[in-house]
Amino acid sequence: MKLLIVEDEAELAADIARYFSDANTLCERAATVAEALERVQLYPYDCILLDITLPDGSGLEVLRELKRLGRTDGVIILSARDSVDDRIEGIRIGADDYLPKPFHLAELAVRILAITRRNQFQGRNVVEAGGLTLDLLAHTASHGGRPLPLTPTEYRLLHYLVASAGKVLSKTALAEYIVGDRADLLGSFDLVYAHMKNLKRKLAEAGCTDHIRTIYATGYKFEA
Amino acid sequence: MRLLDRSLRRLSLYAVAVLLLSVPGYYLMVRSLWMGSVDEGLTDRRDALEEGLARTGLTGDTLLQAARLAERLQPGLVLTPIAGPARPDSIYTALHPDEPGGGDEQFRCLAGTVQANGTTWAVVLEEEVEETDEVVGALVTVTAAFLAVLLVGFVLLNKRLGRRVWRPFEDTLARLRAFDLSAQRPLVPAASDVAELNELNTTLVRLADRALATYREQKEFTENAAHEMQTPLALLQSRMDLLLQSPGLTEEQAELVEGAKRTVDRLAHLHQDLLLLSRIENGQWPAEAPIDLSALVARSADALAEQAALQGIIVEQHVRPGIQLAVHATLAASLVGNLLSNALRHNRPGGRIRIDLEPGTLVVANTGDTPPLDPALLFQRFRTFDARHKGHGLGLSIAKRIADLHGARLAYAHREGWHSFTLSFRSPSESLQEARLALRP
Repeated sequence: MKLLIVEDEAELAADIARYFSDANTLCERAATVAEALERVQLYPYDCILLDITLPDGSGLEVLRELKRLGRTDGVIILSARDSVDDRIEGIRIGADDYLPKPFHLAELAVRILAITRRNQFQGRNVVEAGGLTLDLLAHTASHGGRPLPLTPTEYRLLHYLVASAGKVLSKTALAEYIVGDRADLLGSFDLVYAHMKNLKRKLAEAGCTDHIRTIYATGYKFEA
Repeated sequence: MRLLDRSLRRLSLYAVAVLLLSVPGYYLMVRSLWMGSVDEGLTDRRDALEEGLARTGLTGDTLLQAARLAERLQPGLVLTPIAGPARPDSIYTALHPDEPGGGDEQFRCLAGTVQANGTTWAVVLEEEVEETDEVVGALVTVTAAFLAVLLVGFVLLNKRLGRRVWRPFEDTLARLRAFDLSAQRPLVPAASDVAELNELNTTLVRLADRALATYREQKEFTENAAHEMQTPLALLQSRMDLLLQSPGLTEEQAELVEGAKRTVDRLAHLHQDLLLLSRIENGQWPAEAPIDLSALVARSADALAEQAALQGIIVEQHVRPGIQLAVHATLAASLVGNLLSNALRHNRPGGRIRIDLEPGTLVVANTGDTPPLDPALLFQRFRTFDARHKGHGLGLSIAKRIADLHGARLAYAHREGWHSFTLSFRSPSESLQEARLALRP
């Protein structure tokens, strides 16, 4: 999988690249509109993370060029939380998603997964990991062909874990993913524990064990 | 009371007092002029009598007979021969019947002496005068008539003045009432040819401009500060995520990193809300199509119930379906989310949350151990009342701001251990109707 990170904040670009780079994923970086245009004209990407505010112009120019070339690279706009107009304009031009800064890298992973799957499997948004099959459109999971009886929240948790397979997921990020803006509330961790316990139990009942590892004091890790 | 009515009342009282006082004044003046002329007439008559008697050239009994004749010709004349020298005239007022059997009339009398051809006569002359009450009555009638004309004139003039002279003032007042700092539009009062009003307007405009400038500066500061925080926060967050991936992290280190991540997360939420507030002030989220409030509330309440259940808190919801709200989806979600999370945050274990949505009102109530809160402080930024369940203190002020901006009302009440927030709003069709009416010239 090839990712292009268009971000003028070098350190942030480096962090994203470091988080996603592995045996299967290659991350490339561009810090300006000019660099980004050069890159996209040369190579196709599975997903382009696009910052809007760049030193030599707007990231939207890159998006327009992509559309002009008739390209189907997935585009996620990463931008300041307050640039609502840019977001609307970006989605209108044809960006696939939008993630305001600051964000959890695991959250970005979920978005990237959704887009790359769709592009790779011609809309059959399916992810397979550790014998599990997740249908990203129907929001269902199955193991060995048998559907798992998951609640929507449990499915969301599983999706989140699978998207960042092999990475340690912080319970803070998980809590925020489940309860949204109220994650700072008392009891949101309990909620994560409760759902995670049920999820593990249901996976175990389906014969799918030893994929979710609890990391002491931190959170969880999905191992395929 | 209106200023004009107040001055009218004073003026009218003054006019009534002056006119009432004028009645005795007129009476005294008219009487003194009239009596003067009556007295002069009496004196003239006495002189004419004296001269007439002298001109007859008669003496003795014939003169006496002439006197009797004069008495008979002039009613009220009494001539009595006396011995001794002439006495000075005395003039007085007397009351007696004009004709026998009639009521008392007022007479002006002159008693003195006349001398003719060696004889001295005591003389009494009378002139009937109108009675006091008749004069006073006439004066009061005339005065009352003028008073009525005066007062009616006052009221009519006042009305015209009210409409004409005070129109610029009322216009300024209306503009002042509609003046909204967050709209960032300067105050433009109506021009007037009245010096005081112009002075008032100039002062108001200066005041408004200063307030606008201060507000703008503050807003820009918040915006810039929030914007500049974005990148460092994003970096912090990504660094924490990366740190968690480092192999060989001890449990103690992992716990510290997770703690730091949680703190960064809180900071990110605070930052997000600050941005939201400054965006709200900027009017970045205009109400587009009305949203389905019922669906939003039901969805949020379900999510809340899940979380509340872990603390043994029961969420009851009575949501009437199909209720709409003309607020941008982002803001509506923030408004409802803040009210609901507030109800959970300040609850007690085993408590309850009640959510009622009816046309025009959304009530979110929760049990809680905190005493009634001060409504004046409740919606202020960074105001938290309960050290145990600390939010960052922006939620309610955001909710309030959103409500205010959309012509809705957010009110707090405390009854029998329940803290409740009531959002009163108009349905989108009502709001539209109102907007149309406001646009009408």
